[in-house]
Amino acid sequence: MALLEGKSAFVTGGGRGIGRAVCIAFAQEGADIAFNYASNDQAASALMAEVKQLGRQCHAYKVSVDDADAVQEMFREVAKRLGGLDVLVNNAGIKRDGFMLMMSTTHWDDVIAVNLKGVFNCCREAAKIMMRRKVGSIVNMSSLSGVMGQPGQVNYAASKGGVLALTKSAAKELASYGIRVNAIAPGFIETDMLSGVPENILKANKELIPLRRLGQAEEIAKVAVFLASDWSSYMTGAVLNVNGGLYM
Amino acid sequence: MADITMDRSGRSVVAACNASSPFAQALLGELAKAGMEIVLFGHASRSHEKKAKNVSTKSRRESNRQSAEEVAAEVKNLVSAHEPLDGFIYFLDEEPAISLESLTDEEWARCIVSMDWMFLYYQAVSRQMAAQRHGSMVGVGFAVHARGDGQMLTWTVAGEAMVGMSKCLALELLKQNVRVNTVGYGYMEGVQYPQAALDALNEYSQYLGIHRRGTAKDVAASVRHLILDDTDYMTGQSVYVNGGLLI
Repeated sequence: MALLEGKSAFVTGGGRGIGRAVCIAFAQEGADIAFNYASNDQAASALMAEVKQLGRQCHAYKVSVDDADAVQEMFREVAKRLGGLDVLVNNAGIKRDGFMLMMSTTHWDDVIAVNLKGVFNCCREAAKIMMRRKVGSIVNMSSLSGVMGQPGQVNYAASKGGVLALTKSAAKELASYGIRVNAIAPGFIETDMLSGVPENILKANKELIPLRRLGQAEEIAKVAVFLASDWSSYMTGAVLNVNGGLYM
Repeated sequence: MADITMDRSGRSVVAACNASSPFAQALLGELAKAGMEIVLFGHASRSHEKKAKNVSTKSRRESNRQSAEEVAAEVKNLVSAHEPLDGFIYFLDEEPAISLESLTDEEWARCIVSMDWMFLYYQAVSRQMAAQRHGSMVGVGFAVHARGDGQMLTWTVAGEAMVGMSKCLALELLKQNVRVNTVGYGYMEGVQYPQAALDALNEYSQYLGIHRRGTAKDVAASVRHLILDDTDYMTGQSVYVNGGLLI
């Protein structure tokens, strides 16, 4: 039996990068999928086709996670279509890097709104659905930045550090309803998020990674499968660092 | 409850050291049920008297030198019979309850000797895994060290030592494609906690996120996950399976 057979999962920011890899890995493990995306219709359609080819249901929503009303409506719809919700992966994230002294408040607000408020919005709505059956697993994507900080990323690091604290508090609040909440803190992963990083900076960072390579989205997805599945049924409030040894 | 009965990556060969406690044996039973081939070893440590009475630094050095040779030979034989070794699990000793105030020299020496054996086995296995350029090492122990606690001084010290050593070893063995991680468990069924620690644990358990004591099967799921290639971008990490006890 596959690890997520018969489960339904919602992945935020599922269209590309880690989110896309999570959707595919979950579908391969037998889960029906719903995901949201911000703008790229083409990528979303391609992912839907790929998941359906695996024999699983797939529904896509063009909704921004920082819009609380839209998120509420989206989760109502998801619960109807998937017949409930077993797993939520909060993966949607943006970055607006810049040194703090020159950072605009807009860039601060945008990142906090999507990366932190978005996680709150989705956790709240998903938990309402999961509580009915007293079972569920929420996996929040934090970041190495949130664990150890990163110059030029005070907004991103603050949002991802906030995700870690939210994860632990939510784990305590929701445990009695049978809902587990854990986080993954990925290191440097080869996705579009790294596309703006100059080659020389990337090279220098790669040399700092003990495993001497960037991670792949699929390597994060496998850990997400573990946390979503019953394999981790006694884990809640935990943070798994998947970073090639960059932070221990 | 964790269901790890499906075999996902063919048969993995896993060597388990210091697995004499009922909890360790139950955990290995779960891994075997999940399709892993378990090889027990650690006989050298059991052939010695582990109670370290008045162990001086000089005699400890001499004793360790002899032990290192025995352990190296034991591990070499093990690997030649079961090559390639996919996983290595080291179970931290279940220690008696001891507070700093009441700690005797003999108790402290026993804790140090226990750490010596851990070092010797990790060293011998890492040499073999480095040579085969493949492997995943997982240290398993009660994670009281993650919060620290009165009455459990030696468990805390040994647990922290295992985590620290694992992180260093993870860095040293990167080029040899060997990963090193630890799994820390909380208040579990089947672990023989010292009576003096049970009061504290019972109190903590009121705050458990997941309202049940964990089982060997819960820990086995994480150990197995770390041995499989699913976690090939994870090294030097500590994974806690504790029902939310320490968060």
